[in-house]
Amino acid sequence: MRTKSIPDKRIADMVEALQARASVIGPKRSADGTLRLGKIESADELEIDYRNSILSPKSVFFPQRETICALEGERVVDVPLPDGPIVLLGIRPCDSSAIQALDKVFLESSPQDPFYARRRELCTVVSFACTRPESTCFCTAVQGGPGHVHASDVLVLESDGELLLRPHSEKGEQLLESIDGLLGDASQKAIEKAETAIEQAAERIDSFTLDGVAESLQGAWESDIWTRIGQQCIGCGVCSYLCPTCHCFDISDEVQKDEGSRVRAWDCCAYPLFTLHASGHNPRASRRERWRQRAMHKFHYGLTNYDRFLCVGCGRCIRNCPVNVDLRSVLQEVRS
Amino acid sequence: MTANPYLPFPCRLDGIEVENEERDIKTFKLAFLEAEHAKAFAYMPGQFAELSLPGFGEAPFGIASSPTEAGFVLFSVKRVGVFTSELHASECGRLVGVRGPLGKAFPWEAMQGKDLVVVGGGFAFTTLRSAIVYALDEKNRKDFGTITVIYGARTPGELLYRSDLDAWSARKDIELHVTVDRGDEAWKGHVGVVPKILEQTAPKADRAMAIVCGPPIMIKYTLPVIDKLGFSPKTTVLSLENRMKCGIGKCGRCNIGPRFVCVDGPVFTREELSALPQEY
Ligand SMILES: Cc1cc2nc3c(=O)[nH]c(=O)nc-3n(C[C@H](O)[C@H](O)[C@H](O)COP(=O)(O)OP(=O)(O)OC[C@H]3O[C@@H](n4cnc5c(N)ncnc54)[C@H](O)[C@@H]3O)c2cc1C
Ligand code: SF4
Ligand code: SF4
Ligand code: FES
Repeated sequence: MRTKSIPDKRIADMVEALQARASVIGPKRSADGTLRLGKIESADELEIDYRNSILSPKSVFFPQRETICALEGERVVDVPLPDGPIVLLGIRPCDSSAIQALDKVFLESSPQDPFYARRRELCTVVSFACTRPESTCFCTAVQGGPGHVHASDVLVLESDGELLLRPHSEKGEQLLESIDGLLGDASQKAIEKAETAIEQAAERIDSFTLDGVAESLQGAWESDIWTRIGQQCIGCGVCSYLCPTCHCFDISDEVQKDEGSRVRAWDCCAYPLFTLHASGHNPRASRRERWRQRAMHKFHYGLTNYDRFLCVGCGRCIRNCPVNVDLRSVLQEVRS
Repeated sequence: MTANPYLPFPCRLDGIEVENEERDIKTFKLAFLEAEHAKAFAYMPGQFAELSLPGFGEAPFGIASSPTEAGFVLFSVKRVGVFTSELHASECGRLVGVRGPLGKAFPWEAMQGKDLVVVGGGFAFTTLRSAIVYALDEKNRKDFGTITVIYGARTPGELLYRSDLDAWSARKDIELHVTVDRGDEAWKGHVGVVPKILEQTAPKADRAMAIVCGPPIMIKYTLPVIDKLGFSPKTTVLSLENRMKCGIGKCGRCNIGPRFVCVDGPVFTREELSALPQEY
């Protein structure tokens, strides 16, 4: 299908048309003034002129807390899978890349996770190319870029007074067909303009590279950088809760009067209990080992196991760390 | 759609055996409620499973029975925390969830036709019991050369599987050396730590594979002896433990370097381990 276009003033109509077929999740202002992803109740809530949301879209596919089995007396029983179509509208390419990273773990490594698989199946991902990189962004260093498609079914480009929509999968084609009445064909001029804006955005992104970082990390197991970062880090876990690719979880039982659920909830390698053995032994006893694990997992083990970084350069961990740990400088130091 | 990999098979607690004087290790015999679940739970010695009781969570345990023992599965569990205490307080008839089998078994293909040297200490003997019972089974015994077992505990009262040990010592086709750190009046066997008895026994390494399981301190002093006897990194097999939750390579806590103990292990050859960081 060719690139389609819709004038800005009809975006609300498009959202309404999508709402008729699916639950639409997109960026909107929350009560505290921050920009978050949430269910779009009325079309004018959608905010597309934004940098990036505080929380990543990973909870759409991998909720922070999810029942994986029901507990009924002595029995552990199955629970129904989630249902109902979703359109995830307006995420950034970095977060789309993060969906591909989660796919590696939950979809492409056997056994599949049925809850994640179902949500991926139910969801059409419409991402917006990025023309507003922040100073903390580094997608271009981690196999990404402001116009990359990654897991997106439709990629939207911004041009003067209109949005250009490009399908990249069958799901994407179907979505555009369903709103075909609202769409026109994009002009060559508009496409060129939008593509130039993306190229310019790419040039504004931090130019540092991570070539050879996995090899450097392999040789840096005993480096004292881990001791220093371990002392700076307070182990709050903010970096992994905000990270679009962090996928570690805990499983626990929640029961009241014989009835309850076996629940999985996001967990974090920055916490000491994460790896504590019942014997009291802890293979990652201090923050030194725990921070090393964070860096190794994302920039070394990811390449070994899945042929990709488990970081998409969104910069959330850098912007929100309470003690200003900057992943980029850690990696630069390891490489030099 | 794939089946829910977090859903355990329901099993009935069918037998409870107190294993030691401390009374903090018990062997639990579990029977599947459904024949199709028993069939789906096709395992080999060295694998593990997640056991669970609603409200008390799940925990991983090595499978102590052998697939040649049909009709039940065995787990020997030390009482240390929330789940294990509740299991210890349970009576026969209670339902226990069993999720598995998980992880990789001992390298049975590579062990075919070889002499087996099994070295174990403390309560890590569980999957070793499984391996020995399996190899001694009349259908399998011909697949292996000599079988030498060296098993140690702190005191005679801490030795697991006393009736199995008695039965094995009466057989001609297995060389069993049981040792304790400290004996008592009744004790007539070896006295001394596992590495010392291994060195004295000196099983031949040229056609053999060694499986070594035990507490970290035993492993530390046993591996140099294993080296001295001539076992190579390829022919020495260890079984590791790490804290686990999912058991299927997703929850991200059990890794050593890029490998997950739950799916790439818990059994590793020393050759495989030499490629990994020493973080366990
Ligand atoms: C592959 C594998 C095979 C295994 N095989 C066996 C086996 O055959 N037999 C066997 O007995 N064990 C085996 N284990 C070990 C077994 O899994 C643990 O003993 C078990 O998970 C303990 O569960 P629990 O709920 O009783 O203990 P938990 O309650 O989880 O914890 C035990 C201890 O951890 C500490 N702890 C837990 N939570 C906290 C907290 N919030 N704050 C502070 N401290 C805390 C406490 O000191 C507590 O006593 C195996 C483990 C693995 C990975
Ligand atoms: S956000 Fe910063 S302080 Fe908190 S765990 Fe991450 S690196 Fe450490
Ligand atoms: S590690 Fe930091 S920059 Fe990389 S994806 Fe996670 S939050 Fe974004
Ligand atoms: S136990 Fe979850 S990844 Fe190994």
